Amino acid sequence: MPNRVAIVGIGQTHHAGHRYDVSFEELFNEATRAALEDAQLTVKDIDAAIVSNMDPFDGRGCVDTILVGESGAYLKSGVKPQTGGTTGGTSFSVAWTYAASGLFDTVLVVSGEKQEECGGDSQSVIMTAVDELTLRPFYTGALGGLAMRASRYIAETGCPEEIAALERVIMDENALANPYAHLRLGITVEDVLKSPMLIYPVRLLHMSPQSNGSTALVLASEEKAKRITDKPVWIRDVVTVHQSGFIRFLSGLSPDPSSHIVAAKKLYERNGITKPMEEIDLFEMYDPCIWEQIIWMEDFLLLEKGTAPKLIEKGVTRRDGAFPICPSGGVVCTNDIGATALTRVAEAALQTRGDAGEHQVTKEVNLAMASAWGAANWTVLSLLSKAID
Amino acid sequence: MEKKKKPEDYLRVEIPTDLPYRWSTGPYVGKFFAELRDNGKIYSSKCPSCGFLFTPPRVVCPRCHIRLPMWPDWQESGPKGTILTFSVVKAPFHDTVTGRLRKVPYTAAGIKLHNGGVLEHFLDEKDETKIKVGMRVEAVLKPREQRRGNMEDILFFRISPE
Repeated sequence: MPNRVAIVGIGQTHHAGHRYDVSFEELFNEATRAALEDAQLTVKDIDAAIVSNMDPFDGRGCVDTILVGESGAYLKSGVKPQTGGTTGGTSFSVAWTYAASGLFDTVLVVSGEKQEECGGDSQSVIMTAVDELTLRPFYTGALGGLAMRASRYIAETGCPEEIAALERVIMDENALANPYAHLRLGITVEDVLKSPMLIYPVRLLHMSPQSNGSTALVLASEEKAKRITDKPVWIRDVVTVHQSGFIRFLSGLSPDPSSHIVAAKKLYERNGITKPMEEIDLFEMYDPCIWEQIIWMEDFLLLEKGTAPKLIEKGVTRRDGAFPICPSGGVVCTNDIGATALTRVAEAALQTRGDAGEHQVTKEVNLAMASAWGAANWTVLSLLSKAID
Repeated sequence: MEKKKKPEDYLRVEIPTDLPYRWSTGPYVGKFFAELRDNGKIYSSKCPSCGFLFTPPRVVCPRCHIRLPMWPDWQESGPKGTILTFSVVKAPFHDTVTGRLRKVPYTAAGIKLHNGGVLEHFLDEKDETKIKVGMRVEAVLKPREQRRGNMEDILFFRISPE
């Protein structure tokens, strides 16, 4: 059995379209300082540090060495995960494993990305993530894969575009209440429906932006956590699942369940959850595109295909709804690749602690879930709680 | 109070980087490309354990983790197939194969090959209102003398007449 571990420090930068004012290293330092300050610790109190980004977006190899000083990893133990969009989630799972093993009492995890430094665009980097011989000539980055999955879902369920537009507006309302979110637009359903088509059926406003920012957490063993804070957020479980790219990113076409479904089933089974929407209070989902948020609601919550749109129409996913999804505004409003999945955990932890501020959900949060997605359909799924058994 | 700076007020350094790579095909994909180039044939391999079809053939079935058969124990697939899903690309993207912006619009589709696996490739129809999931399509190959032994020896898929 793993040792009990809690999140005791939460920090993030403002996530923005441009951060020309700081270097890559300084950006990571901002989040590191914020998390340490939140925990009221100094870097001397940290035993191990997990630092991460997706190197090609920033154009640097071996970022571990570049970031060691500013991120607080200097002369400490740690590794540097790099798993596409999942990066921040993988880093969180590694940090949790480090602390839960009993080998380290306090573990810092800091993830970030400065996407503006890539001279091309994010999709051109993502295109290098698929098989160069058989797929790359026809592939259009993550966006292409997301569009094909949405296209298949629309053909199967007849989900109208208005549902995607409505959910996107709900996300915007959440982002407007979250000062750290990147896109805070004040848009209407009409605006989303009329926004330019990037790749049919995905419009500009359906898609996550290219953001710059960093997020950091401090994790601590049970004994340490109770000494550090009155409001520890306990890590109940973290599940990771990988799916091969052999079905060409089109999880909807695979005879096998998606990595999201496999991860959710494993998480629920291990934690005795039989009715996820009733037992879990909120879900910070890694939703790179609003269509995927709809499709993956059904995957993660083990719902029947085509039922998520009705829940959205009823207002279930809103901040004051029965099962809030992405009260932070989610990835469709903020996507600084390396940081994105760690931000999901950070936001779920803030909600559990009751410290989310204006975007705090109406209901009480005792159990919160956060997901990560990236690469060839990789999933990291985390479960946090206010109380300890 | 300091005046809000504009992007051009910050000093940024540009370093263009040219990174050419050369990849080995391995015997399976190499043979697949050679057959496509020389004989215009599309081959798939079938997992003897779970029956999953792979186009192009691959060495290991990720589901069963067993080694898959090598040519000539492959089966001929296509050129006909069915559209499983599609996307019509309208915004220009940097093509990491050429380093240049790709010409838009174009349609990329997931195609289930007759007697084969799922392939992602171009569709020649660029109007989304004329494309439906489930439509029958057919591969159009380059003429023999222009084929080079790569995926682009298949020019695109064309929607078959009803």
